[in-house]
Amino acid sequence: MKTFKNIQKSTFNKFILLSIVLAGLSSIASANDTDFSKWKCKLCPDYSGWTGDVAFGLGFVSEDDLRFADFRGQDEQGLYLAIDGRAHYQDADGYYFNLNSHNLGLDSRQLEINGGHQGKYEYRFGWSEISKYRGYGSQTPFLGAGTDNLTLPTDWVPAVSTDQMTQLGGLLLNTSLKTHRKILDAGVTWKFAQNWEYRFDYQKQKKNGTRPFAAGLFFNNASQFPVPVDFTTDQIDMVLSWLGKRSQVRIGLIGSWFDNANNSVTWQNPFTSGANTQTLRAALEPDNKYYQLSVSGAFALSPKVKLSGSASIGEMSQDDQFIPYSINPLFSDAQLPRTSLDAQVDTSTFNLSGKLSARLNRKLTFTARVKFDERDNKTPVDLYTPVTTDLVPSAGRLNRPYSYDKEKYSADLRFRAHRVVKLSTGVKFENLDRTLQAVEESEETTLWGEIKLNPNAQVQGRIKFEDSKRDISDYLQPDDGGSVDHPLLRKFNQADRDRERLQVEINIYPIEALGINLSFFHARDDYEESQIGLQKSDEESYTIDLSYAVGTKINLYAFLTEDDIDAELVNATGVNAIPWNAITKDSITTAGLGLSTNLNKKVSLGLDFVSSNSKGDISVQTDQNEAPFSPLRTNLKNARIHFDYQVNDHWGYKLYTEYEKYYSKDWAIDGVGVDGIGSVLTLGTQSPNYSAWIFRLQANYRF
Amino acid sequence: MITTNRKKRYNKLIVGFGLIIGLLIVVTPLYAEDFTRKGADSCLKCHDEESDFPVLSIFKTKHASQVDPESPFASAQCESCHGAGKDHERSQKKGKDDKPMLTFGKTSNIPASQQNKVCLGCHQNHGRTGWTGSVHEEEDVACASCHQVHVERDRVFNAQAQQQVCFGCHATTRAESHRASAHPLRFGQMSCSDCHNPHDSNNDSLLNRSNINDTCYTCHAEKRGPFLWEHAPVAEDCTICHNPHGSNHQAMLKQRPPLLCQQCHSPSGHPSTAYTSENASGNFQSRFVLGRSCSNCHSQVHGSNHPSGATISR
Repeated sequence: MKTFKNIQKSTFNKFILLSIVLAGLSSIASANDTDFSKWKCKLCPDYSGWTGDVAFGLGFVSEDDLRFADFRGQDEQGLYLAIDGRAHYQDADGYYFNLNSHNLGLDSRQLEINGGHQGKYEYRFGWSEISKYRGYGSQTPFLGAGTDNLTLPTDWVPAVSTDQMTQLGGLLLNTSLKTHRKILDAGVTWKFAQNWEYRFDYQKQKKNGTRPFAAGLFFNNASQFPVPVDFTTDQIDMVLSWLGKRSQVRIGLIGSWFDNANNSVTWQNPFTSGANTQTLRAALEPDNKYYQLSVSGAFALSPKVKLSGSASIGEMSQDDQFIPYSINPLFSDAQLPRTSLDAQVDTSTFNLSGKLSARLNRKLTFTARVKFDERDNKTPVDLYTPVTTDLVPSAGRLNRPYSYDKEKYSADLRFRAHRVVKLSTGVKFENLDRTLQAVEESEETTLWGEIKLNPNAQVQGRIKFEDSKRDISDYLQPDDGGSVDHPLLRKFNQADRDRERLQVEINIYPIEALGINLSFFHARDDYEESQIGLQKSDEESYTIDLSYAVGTKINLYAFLTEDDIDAELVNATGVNAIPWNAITKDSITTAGLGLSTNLNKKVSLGLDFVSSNSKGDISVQTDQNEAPFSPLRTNLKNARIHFDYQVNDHWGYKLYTEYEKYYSKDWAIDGVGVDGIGSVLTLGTQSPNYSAWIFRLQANYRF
Repeated sequence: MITTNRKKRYNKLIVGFGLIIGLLIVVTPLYAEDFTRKGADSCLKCHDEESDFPVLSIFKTKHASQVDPESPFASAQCESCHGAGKDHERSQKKGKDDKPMLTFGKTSNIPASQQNKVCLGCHQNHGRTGWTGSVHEEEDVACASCHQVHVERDRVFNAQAQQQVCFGCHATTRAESHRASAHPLRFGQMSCSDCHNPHDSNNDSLLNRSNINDTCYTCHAEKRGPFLWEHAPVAEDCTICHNPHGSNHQAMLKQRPPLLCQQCHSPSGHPSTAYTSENASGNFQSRFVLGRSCSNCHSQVHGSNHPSGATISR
């Protein structure tokens, strides 16, 4: 018994001790596995419920200037309703709702809504409108602007040149050349199971109005006139995703349906013409469809090696009914090879980038990418016998459905050589095969290197240099029945090319509040093998950026960017002709400065000023030592001030004023007028010049 | 006896080991725990709206949800992102500032890759499958360099403000957006993310669609065709002629016609003729230079579906 008791006692002790050990171990384990549910978050503010602002009041626009109204949607001088607002709802159960609106009282306005149950589903809705104005001071004698049939007044007397159109001045009508785009967005995201998500977005875009168009009657004359824009585009974008921690896969479908309510436009020829060419006709953009199915994904082979990529196949198609060869009765019955094009382009894109991305060790990373992009144009080829400009029957000509096949391969190596030095280098190969064009194959190899210096948090620097060389296969002009180019011409996108790019950036933060950023960019393309065509293009850009922040109360900024874009072109009217050359130099200076400050809880103030000046010099030289063109100029100055004053918890005032001055000069249109070119009846568009301001005062109710 | 002594020693060893473990049970919660004792309640004692970096607006955002298991506030609250704060809390109580928390943003001393690791811990699987190896990742851009977490509405989700974030680094693009012909970024009618996905890298230039043209067709579907008479560079790449970020030439063209067209066209006759300044006015003024230049007749530069549109003039 004693032995048995000892055994019992011994076993009991062991049991107790083992229990203590296990309890201890489990306690150690749980010590790091904190029970966060016990954290009460008592100091966390509860923002459940509705919050938001509604600002309403009046604005005033000083000018009815179309260029000033461009995108702003304020094309009439006078008062307008100034309404903006935002609302936010959230509750402890995870339901939320957001509404943001901007400029609801203007032609260009935005409204955006989203809401849902966090972590479960979200719905989205958006409505936006954008006004776009083309042409400044445009006038036309044509009646029916906005329709597909433009006629001239009944008392119009055709003439051989515009200076003989004696009634023109009295018959001109102002035409605004405005398009208005309305965009409806609706979508939903549904997380229907662990790691699974479905997203569906629908968009309808409607674009209505008029845009400038021009066409002529052979070499005799041409007219500019407004053509109707009545476009509708429906798009869907849906994605089914499996989203794991180590891997993600997405399957997507995009659909786009474009509809143009007008497939052609006819216009009365204002010039003296034969009996059959008094009315002319041009095609407008045909309806089209597009579908794309895609698969993308990423997989972490290990914590240091990741692979991602995507593949897509698509189809663009268009099968609008053809209009006849000509509206000219002499050719209108000519037999077309088909009644519609039945055009189809298959597209496929395969991206693999990263995308072997491997962190070889703590200091070295390697990234490789592969991309294939193919456009396979399967549109049927037929022999057409065009009637050039409704007047001259031409020789038979085959349509040319262009295809291409692009391949890109690249590999980068990044090495942290030292705590403050990071060295990177890489290589890229691009192969491009085209059909039916002058060059069937081109290959481009790019080498680049980069040094990044980060000696401390106050100074960062980066210098990157890239050198590319593109080689082409034989340059053979395609025999497509069209005009024959100079045999020495090399179209610049299909020419041998040497390219250099240099980027330098220095970021300095002498004190935490002050940031100084300096950057320089240089790009140079040389087409040394091209005797005719673009010879070279250079681009240089210098920027200095300053920012100064005093806590979260005051922010100051200033920037200056100087861009210079130069190009040189050589062309010749024939093999035996003396080549001429053109040199273009565009210089653009952009500068800005601003201040935003919250002086206290009641007052905030913002000031912004930006200036953008451009000068375009063009010199075309034959052997006659011609003078250069007078410079092209644009000069934009814009200043904005906003001042918000919160009277109490609910009410406040918002004051906004904006001043903009714009000056431009363009010898191609200035002073030309409607009848300035004898053989072209233009829209008389002039370079925009204006100064205008906006003043807006709103009461703001905060809830 | 020997056996009994061994058993006694054995039992003493076990009891001694048990005592040590028991001691650990009492002591380890005091020293092995890295997190603060009260989570956000510990942090908010010091960090509030009056501090240098006001934080409370995070409670108006999804990050503060306690019902979404993916939200940081459903677990370690502030410390989900800023790291366990026990040492920081203790050092602050002692009046020291030698145990900083993990901070975010451009001016943080924490490398971007370490900052981003925190964000990607939750966000890797939400539209950022291509982040690894992307340009922004390789250039050490921190998520917080662009995103604001402690505000009600992150400025990158505001169409009127987003571009200012991007322009902070892309200064040339900011200048381009103010040129005479540009997409309406400066009016807030468009934002950079309408065309670009800053988190992905599978497409060229971080575009939302497979290639440049597919991206442009999203808003300019009428240019898609396919047309009976295609203009070869148009079908290949819109940026051969256009600079989508802005130009001082009309329609965002890189060069003005007729020189733009004469870079690629040189048949004898009017396409390859030198039009000099003498053709801009006076007796020698030319329709090939003035007005819409080449487009006075050849206005269907994006392609024509007219059976007689081979010269893109119908």
